[in-house]
Amino acid sequence: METSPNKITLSLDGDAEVSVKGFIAPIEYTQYNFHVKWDALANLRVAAPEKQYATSIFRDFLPKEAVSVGDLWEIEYAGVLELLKQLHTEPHLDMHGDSGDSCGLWACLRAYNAEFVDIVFRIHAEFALPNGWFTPSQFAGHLVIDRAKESVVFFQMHVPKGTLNFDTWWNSKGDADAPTWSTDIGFCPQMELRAGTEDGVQNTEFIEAITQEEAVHKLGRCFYKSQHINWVSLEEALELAPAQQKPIHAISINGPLADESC
Amino acid sequence: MWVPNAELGRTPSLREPITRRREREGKTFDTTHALAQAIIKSWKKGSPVDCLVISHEFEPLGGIDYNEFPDCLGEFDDWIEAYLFFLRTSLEGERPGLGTLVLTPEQPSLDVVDTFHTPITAHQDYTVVFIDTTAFEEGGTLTIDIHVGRDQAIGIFHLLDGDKKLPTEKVPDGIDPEAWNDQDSDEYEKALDALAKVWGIFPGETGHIMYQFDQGQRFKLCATGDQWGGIGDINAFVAKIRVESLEERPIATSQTPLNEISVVLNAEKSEQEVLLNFRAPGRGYQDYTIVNIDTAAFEDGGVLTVDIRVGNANASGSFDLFDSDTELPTEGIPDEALVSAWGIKPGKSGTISHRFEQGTVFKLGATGDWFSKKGNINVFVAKISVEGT
Repeated sequence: METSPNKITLSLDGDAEVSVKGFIAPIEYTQYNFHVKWDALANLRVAAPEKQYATSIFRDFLPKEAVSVGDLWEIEYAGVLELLKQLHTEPHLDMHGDSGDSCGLWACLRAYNAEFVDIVFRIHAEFALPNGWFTPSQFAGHLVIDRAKESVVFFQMHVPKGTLNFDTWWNSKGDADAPTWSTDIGFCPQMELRAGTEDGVQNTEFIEAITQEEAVHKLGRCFYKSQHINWVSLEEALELAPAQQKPIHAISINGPLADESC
Repeated sequence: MWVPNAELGRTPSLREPITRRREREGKTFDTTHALAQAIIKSWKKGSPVDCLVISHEFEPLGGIDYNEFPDCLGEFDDWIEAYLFFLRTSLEGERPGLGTLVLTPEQPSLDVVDTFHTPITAHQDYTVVFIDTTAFEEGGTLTIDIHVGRDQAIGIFHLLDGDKKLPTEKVPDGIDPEAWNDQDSDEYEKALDALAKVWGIFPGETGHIMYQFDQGQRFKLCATGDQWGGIGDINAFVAKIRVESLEERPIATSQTPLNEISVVLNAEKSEQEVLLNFRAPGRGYQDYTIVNIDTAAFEDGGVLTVDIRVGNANASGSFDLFDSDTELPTEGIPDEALVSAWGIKPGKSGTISHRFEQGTVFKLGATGDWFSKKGNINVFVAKISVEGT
């Protein structure tokens, strides 16, 4: 439904079913070999490889009001928690290691035309493991809706790859009353929920759109103050500084500034 | 910009996953370029976060270990003020957090221990000691005593103005590459444009740099190995760096002109050091700076010894000792001198020694030699001592 120029209202028909596939690949690397020493990590596998959901569960990803391309809104917890349980039985959206900017579920309208709507989202969540925690860097995703049918065309919620993409805490002695926490970081090649296919959408011409990168940047700013700074890459600084005759303010840092993996 | 340290190879344990990711993404990452190298060289050992300011020519201007912030910068009311101070002083050239030796009237002397090596090509990879003497607003004399360790490399040390770019293996325009690489010609010296230098300090030996400045400034002391030794050789050095302000001239009395001071030696204080300028008078002339040396307390005579070290500026020194009643000549050969040491080159030393039968007052005259360009100024330190009979 069109509301005002450039604003659209998003909706889904709740009755249809959506089949979602879940994947967790064996952990490939941890800095201190927790994925070898700690059974919970060594045996981390998807809870349900495939599961049927009512389309209504995806309504929690939609905005309550009409939105324009680039607008941001918060995602409701319930549907997300239900979906995350397909990956692991104990998901949490209240991050245990929150330093003030960790929690949140945000979505952004990236593009639309008469047929489709493309929503990009970012969710921070973690899983409680026996004697520990598993904290992915983030869950990034897409939700593509067929506007006429009010159905889910494509859904993906995954942990992006990167160098390292999770952080983990292990109470290695197992004493819950006096825990001894050790931490590690690592790389899991695939942690993903997926439904439908992008094929019909990829070549679509949208009426209005922002790039994937712009949408991702907007979402990052919902979480971290550091993302309000217009950072440039090393390569860009290498070109810009001499060209503009300007000094460089560089922050050289061990961990990432823009995700939860450290 | 922000850059993950691991991408620059700082975390050895992450090299493997980074390599895998780059293979996966089909991307490479160049860590050899000037900006990456400036970041890497500015890292503080063990620091998880380094905040850096780097010039558009990729020279580090400031760098702090965030774990030490803000205490590493001084006392501040809040962190914002401290961080703004860091940024401002970086842009003003004070190099906060980068190990600059800051000399002040309260702390005029500091030591530094470092290493240097002999590069494959001359002028690669200097070890640089940054020296800040801006607190000496009225100027002073910078003296650097360098002791080279006992390993293999032979030391070459240049003192450059703080704003001057470091020499590199890239040959400057207008100079013969061979001359630039040989580091042993007037053409090379002109291109280097060092304020002072000391070459060829062999293992276990010492060398000195002395430079007089008119107002507080910043310097770079650049150390490298002499290519005449072995390529790849390394060595350590200790540099004792100090500034004496011009006001610290000893016992200059209100009656004496600025180019004349007096020292009084006696049994209790038989040795004194003075620091003064001299000027090159031009061929055939004398333009003496005078040190009156009162040895009257040594009634039975003794031996007066003056150990002279000439600074590194562009004038050689000539030194003549006279009786007090001798009128010092302004031109010609000083025939009435009791003893002389002529033509002491910049950075070199000489000694005057004179036995006297009873205590008296001498005049030590210091002037530039006749081969130095008229008007050139240099500095000298004279350690004056008497051993009584």
